[in-house]
Amino acid sequence: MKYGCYQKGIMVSLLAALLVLPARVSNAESIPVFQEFDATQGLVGRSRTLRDNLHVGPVGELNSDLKYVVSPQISKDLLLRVGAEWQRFSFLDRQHAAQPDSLQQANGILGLDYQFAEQWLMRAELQPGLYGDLDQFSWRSFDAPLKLGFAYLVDADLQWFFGLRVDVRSQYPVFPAAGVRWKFADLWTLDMVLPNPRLEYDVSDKLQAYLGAAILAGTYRVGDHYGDERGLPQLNRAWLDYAEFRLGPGFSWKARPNLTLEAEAGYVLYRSWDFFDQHVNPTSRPLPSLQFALHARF
Amino acid sequence: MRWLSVTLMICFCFLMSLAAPAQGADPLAGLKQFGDFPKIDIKRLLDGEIFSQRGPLMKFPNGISSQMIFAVPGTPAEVVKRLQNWDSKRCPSLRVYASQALGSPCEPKEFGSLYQYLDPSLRPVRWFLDQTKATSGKSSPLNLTQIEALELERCVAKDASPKNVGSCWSNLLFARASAFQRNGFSKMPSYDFELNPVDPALHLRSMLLEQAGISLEFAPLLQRAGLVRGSAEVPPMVPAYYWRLFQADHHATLSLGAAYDLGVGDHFQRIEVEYYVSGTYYTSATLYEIWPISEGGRTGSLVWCDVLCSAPSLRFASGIERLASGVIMLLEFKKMVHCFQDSFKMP
Repeated sequence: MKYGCYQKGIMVSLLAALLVLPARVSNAESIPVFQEFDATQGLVGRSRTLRDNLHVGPVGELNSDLKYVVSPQISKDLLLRVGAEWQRFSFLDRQHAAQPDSLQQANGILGLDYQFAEQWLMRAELQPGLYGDLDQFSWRSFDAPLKLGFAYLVDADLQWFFGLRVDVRSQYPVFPAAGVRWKFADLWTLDMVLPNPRLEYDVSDKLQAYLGAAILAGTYRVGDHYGDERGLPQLNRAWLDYAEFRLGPGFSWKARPNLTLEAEAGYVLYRSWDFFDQHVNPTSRPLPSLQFALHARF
Repeated sequence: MRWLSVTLMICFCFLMSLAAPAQGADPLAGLKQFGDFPKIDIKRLLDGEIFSQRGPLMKFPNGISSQMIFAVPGTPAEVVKRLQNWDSKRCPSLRVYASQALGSPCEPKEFGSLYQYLDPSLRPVRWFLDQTKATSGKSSPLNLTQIEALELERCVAKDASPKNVGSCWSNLLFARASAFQRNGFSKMPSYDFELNPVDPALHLRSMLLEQAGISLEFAPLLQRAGLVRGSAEVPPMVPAYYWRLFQADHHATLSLGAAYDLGVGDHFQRIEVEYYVSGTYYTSATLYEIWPISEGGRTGSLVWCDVLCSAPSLRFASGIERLASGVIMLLEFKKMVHCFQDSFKMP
């Protein structure tokens, strides 16, 4: 799986934006401005002998995610969110003809954080962009999922969360969720908020251990000849829901006041490439996984 | 950092010279000039409601603020007296382990009881003891100067029992409190183990500077408290001093504070400053203005307050995290207000 010019272009554009935006943002000293940068790299191992004529390698999946958001304060209760994200899944262990070799998204982020009542905060985030294998540049891959999240703050130790993902391309156009963050003891926090619910233990002020789950999911469109190449012509130009469910322990280390590094190992319990309109839904068996993440705030 | 300090001083002195609070003014009209409450329903306040507003996010990266209004029975003078003498330990939700007034000048024996409250079976206290033991002259997770950290390291090295750790901290607090009583906000020891040394007084001034209307309203009190330099022509005020041991974010925390009260016509102004905090946050200040009110035959006092807090965790918090921090600070302070209101129901 090689990165083509297009993928390199996305990377270069995103990195250029990262370099340029902070300088511009820092000039806007009249209003508070916040910046977030998140980078994630995951590896999923291969679990079984593959069939002939399919790729064989030590790694079954690589997934990468880069996200940058700048957030200026518009009014006392309103913050704008503008940014960009690039995410790629490379599947190196095709076990089913319908399984794609890669899925990618390159999207903008346009949203807001808003306090609409004394104890209520909300986040609305539209993520317009291209979602597909992106081997060919096509506006047919355009999608604009909307994420809505609401937080009810009871006190410093207890907060409730309610969320909604709206994506008209998906098999499930509206997907609701609820969660809670509860610091139930001095060192223990139950952070049951999707997509990364965790049970956290504070080893020290800088180091946290956790047992966590993660759900990686998205809706993507495959290319015009995707099905022809696989002997499944009904999959040409099809949309699929990809979902991955992980479970495992990890560590989160506050390396600097504005920099957190995370590492986790565990299992991908479930992966699914659901071509829902064509009723084709290959899945994979559990696979070991590793994930590294960096979260920076400016 | 020095140029910033000087600039802040100049701006602040300029602001302070502009105005003074109106004496005997209508509280609602006065409040609307500097507070964040365009509509105030006295009847609902007298019924026990608390109105609150999170402050806007500050350009000062470590700061947050929140405002509140509530009503209590009694005259403003009685309310001020109760604020001075109120025992926050009686309210379990505030998680105050110990609170003691200090004389002026303070004496070492006034800190002598500290060790009694350092119960290692309490997880937040154990955290505090562990952080103290982890302190050396080169690094510390606590808010200390390098010299204080070195002295603490030597002191604890002799005997790490909670009793001796309490004694070591008593010495440190006594030295800090004595220095503050001599020099006020002008020569406060910094916290040396942050990325850049932290001057709590500079943080307080930075936060006040972002609240120009409130700073103007409290100009005489801030000048007499010495938070504003160039107040040589104003007679200094002797505050009420105290030390406190309490829980902040699941950490046992020590603080030294000073409360300044000023009568302005028929109402009172008060500022309560934590000029030293051992950890978790850097400093805080609460400004109060207390007016007499009456509505439908009921009388009482209208209390407006503005809470300012500077904390390291805010420096790199994302926008929504800072919004949430402001809301949570407001909710935590509301617990204190509820307890204070309840204290009027007791004899």
